[in-house]
Amino acid sequence: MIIAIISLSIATLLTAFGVAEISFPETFLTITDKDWLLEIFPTAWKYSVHIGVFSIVIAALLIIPAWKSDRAFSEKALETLLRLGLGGMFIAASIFKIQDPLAFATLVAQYQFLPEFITNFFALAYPQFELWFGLALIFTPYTRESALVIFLMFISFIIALSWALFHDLGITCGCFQIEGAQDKSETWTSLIRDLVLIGPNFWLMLRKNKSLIRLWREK
Amino acid sequence: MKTIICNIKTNVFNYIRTLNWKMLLILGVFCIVLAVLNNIFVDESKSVEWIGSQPVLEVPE
Repeated sequence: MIIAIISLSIATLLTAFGVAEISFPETFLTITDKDWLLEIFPTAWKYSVHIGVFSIVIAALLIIPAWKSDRAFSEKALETLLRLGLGGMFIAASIFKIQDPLAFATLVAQYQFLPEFITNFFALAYPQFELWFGLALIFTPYTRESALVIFLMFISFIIALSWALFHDLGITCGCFQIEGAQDKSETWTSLIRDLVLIGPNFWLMLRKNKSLIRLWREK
Repeated sequence: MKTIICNIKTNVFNYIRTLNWKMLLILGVFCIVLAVLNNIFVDESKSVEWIGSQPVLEVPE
């Protein structure tokens, strides 16, 4: 069990680091934000996606020893961490959109994907789904249902970002902030993040419906 | 190949059957009601028209 705890703790830290590295290029201070490195490898070191993805791959590999040493504990710990992480991420992503519907509606309009008549209402309703299904994933026993809705949201992000990239619309997802959303260099980093996170979310969709408390009480 | 597609179809149908649709429907309706309330009570400068879209901005260089 100690091996499982250590492996999963390191994996959690690496995943958090990796996701932050992919999600917030330039704004999140990392070991790669060095001027001399930016001069030599301007693109690669500005968008340190490769560091983030590498960190997540290592985290995924660390699950193997944890799984082998104590499978039951590892399953519970992974489910808990993923529910807290993904749920928390969706809650955090929804706040600014709920506070400023106009800014988010403007962002959604830039995708030129939805019919015009529905864009504003979509921008109003979507963040509410992010918030409440994020909360449901953490605080209710309905893991499968919440994870399914979050999975569908991930699919919609992936389709929208691919659309933006394909049509060279010059926008990023605007998932966590409106400012700087008109930056085409960040579109593909957001797409990679969503592609990475959809896997663990799919695993949650297949789990049994249990509250986090019941998950740990049951032997 | 046909068997694999059949298996996937069966698994998806079985999965859909296990879902609690009541919970999904209630929470979905709750989200839409809150979206409507949010647009009514949010600061007027930040609210949007119910039907329509926002202008498409110029693509950056």
